Amino acid sequence: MNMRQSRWTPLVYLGPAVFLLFLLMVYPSLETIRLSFMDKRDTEFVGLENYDYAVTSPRMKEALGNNLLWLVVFTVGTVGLGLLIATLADRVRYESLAKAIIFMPMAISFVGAGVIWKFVYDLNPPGNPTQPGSQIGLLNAILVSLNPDDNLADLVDKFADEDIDISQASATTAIIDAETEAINAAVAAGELTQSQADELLDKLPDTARDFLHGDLPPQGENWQLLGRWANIVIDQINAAVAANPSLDGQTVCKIVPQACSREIEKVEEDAIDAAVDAGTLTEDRAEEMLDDLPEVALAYVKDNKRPSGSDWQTVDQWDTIITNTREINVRSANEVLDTGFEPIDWIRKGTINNFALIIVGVWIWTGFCMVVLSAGLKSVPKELLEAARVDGANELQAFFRITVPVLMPTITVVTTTMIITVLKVFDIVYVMTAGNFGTEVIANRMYLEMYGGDRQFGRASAIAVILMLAIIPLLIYNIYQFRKQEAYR
Amino acid sequence: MRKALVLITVLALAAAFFPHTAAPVAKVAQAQDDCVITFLTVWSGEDELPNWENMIKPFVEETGCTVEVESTRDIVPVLTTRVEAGNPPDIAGVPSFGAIRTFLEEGDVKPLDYLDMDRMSTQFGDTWMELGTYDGTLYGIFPRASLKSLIWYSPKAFEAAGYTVPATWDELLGLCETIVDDGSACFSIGLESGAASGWPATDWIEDIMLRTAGIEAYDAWVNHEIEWTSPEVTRAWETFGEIVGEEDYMYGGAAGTLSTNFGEAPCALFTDPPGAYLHRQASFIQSFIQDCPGGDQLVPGEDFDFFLFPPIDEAAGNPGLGGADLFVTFSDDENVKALVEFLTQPEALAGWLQGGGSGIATNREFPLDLYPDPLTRRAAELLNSVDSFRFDASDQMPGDVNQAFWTGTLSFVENSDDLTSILETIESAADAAYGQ
Repeated sequence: MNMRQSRWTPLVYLGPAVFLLFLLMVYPSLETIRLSFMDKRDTEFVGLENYDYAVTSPRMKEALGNNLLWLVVFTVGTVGLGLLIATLADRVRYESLAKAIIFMPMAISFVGAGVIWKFVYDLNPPGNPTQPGSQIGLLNAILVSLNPDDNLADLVDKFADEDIDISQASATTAIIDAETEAINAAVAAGELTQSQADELLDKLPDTARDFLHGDLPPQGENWQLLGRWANIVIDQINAAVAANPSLDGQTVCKIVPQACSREIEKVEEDAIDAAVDAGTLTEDRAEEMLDDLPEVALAYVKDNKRPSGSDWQTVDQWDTIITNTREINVRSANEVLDTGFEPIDWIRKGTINNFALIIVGVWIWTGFCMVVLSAGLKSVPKELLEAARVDGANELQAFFRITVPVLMPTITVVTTTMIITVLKVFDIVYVMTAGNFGTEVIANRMYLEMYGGDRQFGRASAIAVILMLAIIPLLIYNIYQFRKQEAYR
Repeated sequence: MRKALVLITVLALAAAFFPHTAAPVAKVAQAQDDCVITFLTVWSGEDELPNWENMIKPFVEETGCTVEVESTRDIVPVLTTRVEAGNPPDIAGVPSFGAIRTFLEEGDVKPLDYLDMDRMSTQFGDTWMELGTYDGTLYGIFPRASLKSLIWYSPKAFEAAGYTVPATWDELLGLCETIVDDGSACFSIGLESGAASGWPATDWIEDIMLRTAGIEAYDAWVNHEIEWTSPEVTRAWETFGEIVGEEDYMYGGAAGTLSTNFGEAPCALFTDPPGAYLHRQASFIQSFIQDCPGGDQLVPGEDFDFFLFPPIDEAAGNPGLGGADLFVTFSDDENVKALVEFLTQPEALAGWLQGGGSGIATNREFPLDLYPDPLTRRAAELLNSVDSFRFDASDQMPGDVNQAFWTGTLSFVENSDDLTSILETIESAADAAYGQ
């Protein structure tokens, strides 16, 4: 064998790497750039049309804006928290445990993290005092558990206080009577066995009392009229009010203003429609009035506040309506009792959803920043810090004047790495909102242009190129920083 | 070097001998009868495929053909790749003609002119024949359909509360008002569906559009001959707004509607007390209802049932909205023709439909008593009795428009006052997409 190295030898060693690099990186990049100047099916050259779309279309503008928000909040969040935790952890004995816990989300795939946080942010329909819903989302469960426990029993008491012949006991009895009758009917019709019925009747008094205090019986019990129990109590109240002719609507409206304001709404709505038909009111003004009406009517009933504007059609009748309203319904009763927090739709509500998504990203990446910064911290010379303290610097001064400057190259690398990460953000957004509700980001837009609608290869490629152009300078800077650090070491 | 030569010789000799020993003579003789039909579909795994295999069993037994199934979630890209690579499947189930228009134009899809057209017209009726026709020739068949214009309710809950099934849109709104005054929500609507969130609301608007603007305007809308900002389309959205513009009418209000998954939405009808009383969804939702908590105890027809989406404008009548599986072929092979012929036979679908999924045979001579449950049978009767039938409009629109439509409905439920700007946004997407 000839031991002399042939001039082909380096090529043999390099060849596979160069070939793979070309096949998997260079060729696709060039192809993407070529496609970005073609139409959606790669048939015609369209010049800069796709780039125009990528910077001017409404969805892309939204995406660019959101990416900027991500860029700032996410980067500051991850690097800031990472630095804070790294510094604090440096001073405690259980440092490795604390760091392990913070680092753990890195072990979860982004899609997995998105799914987990979707549960944290989950919203269930809240229901109302007579039919409370339950929240399985952590945040909303906490929020709703802070609510005051208003229920039908309170409403009954309020009426009882006004010398109306009703009490919690009579309301409970009304439920028991109606349900007993229905259970017996169901037995006669063969829908329930006698033993099932006996079991239910046995539980009925307690269940009815609990219902009045806002607790629904467990699902799957064979109650016949459960959906009507609230109505039965309300009917009972209405009957008691009716039995006392000396009492006028003022009292009812004081306890349940919504019952009266809704009556006013009905009359006023008809009058506004009629006025539009007669031409005395413009459509725009009518629409505006109809939007304001619920609030206006409620303010009138509650605080006797006369509406501003002279074009309200029936104000002179409103007092009469109030006097004559002697009936409430479950809807208005619910509205009176419903005074607590509404659960929040964290990932769909316009102003907060972007931050809700960014928090997920921060939760995942803070651990990474912390680990890198923590390693950097170890290299801050102890003597320097001690010298500063001896010179009388407090801890904050030592941190900002010594630690941070020494750590600066590391912070820069971590920051640029986070910026590169955040520019590409996709998984979290795709899994949690799919870019809807104003949470669009560039990478999601790229995916949707490609696979979501008409497979717009050209547009998707143009977006990819823009993303690449934004990232390349950061990459170069990062590599440059790395080299400088290596040299420093 | 010499060793390598020896090795190659050995391998070559082995290759020369083994085929003879491995292949029995009998099989070689059968080779020309050996027929394999490739079938590309979006169905997979547990639900649909066993039913499909069950259905084609008679065909397989009779012809000795095997049908090789390839499943993909992403059927259009896969189909595109295979057609352009010159290796199309023999038969494919595709979402719509719109999705495969280029293959029709370029002649990749084979005409079905070998079918007996008189028989087809009698058994399937004009609607399905027209839908399967491109440029005057039949290219596709729709053996199985689903009916979307259904409003689900619980007869038991209705009876307990003393409600009756509404016969018109106004009666429906009146019923909603009563239900809401009684302390429940009227409709449970769930629009959450991942990247496709919003699609159930597009079905609502399509149903309303058919009943307010009529079939001609509906078709014009699908083809973008009328704009999204036109009075017809605007009115359909506004009519939808009579439900979703009212916070109290929806279970959980707008937030609940946007965050509830479409498959879980009907469950609110079957809690005790009911969270809502009505749910609008296609016939397929039956299996979702039975997946609700306690849903396996629910009896079709007693605990849950449906009525047809009520008419709105008398002039527009009561059309049906739905979807169907479209089959097209990319092969002239006699065996493929035989499979298509088989799929159009009245009773062929029994095995398929009986597996569940609430599919309806479009062949009018399919015996009603072969349906697995009374509700599907009734949906089939309704499908055959509606004034006319139209396909899901959004499925037929260009993908970009469909997406804008989905997103638009979400914004609309969030804030129904924004209608003008929502429609303008969709119109600009449509303007670009149809122009291309």
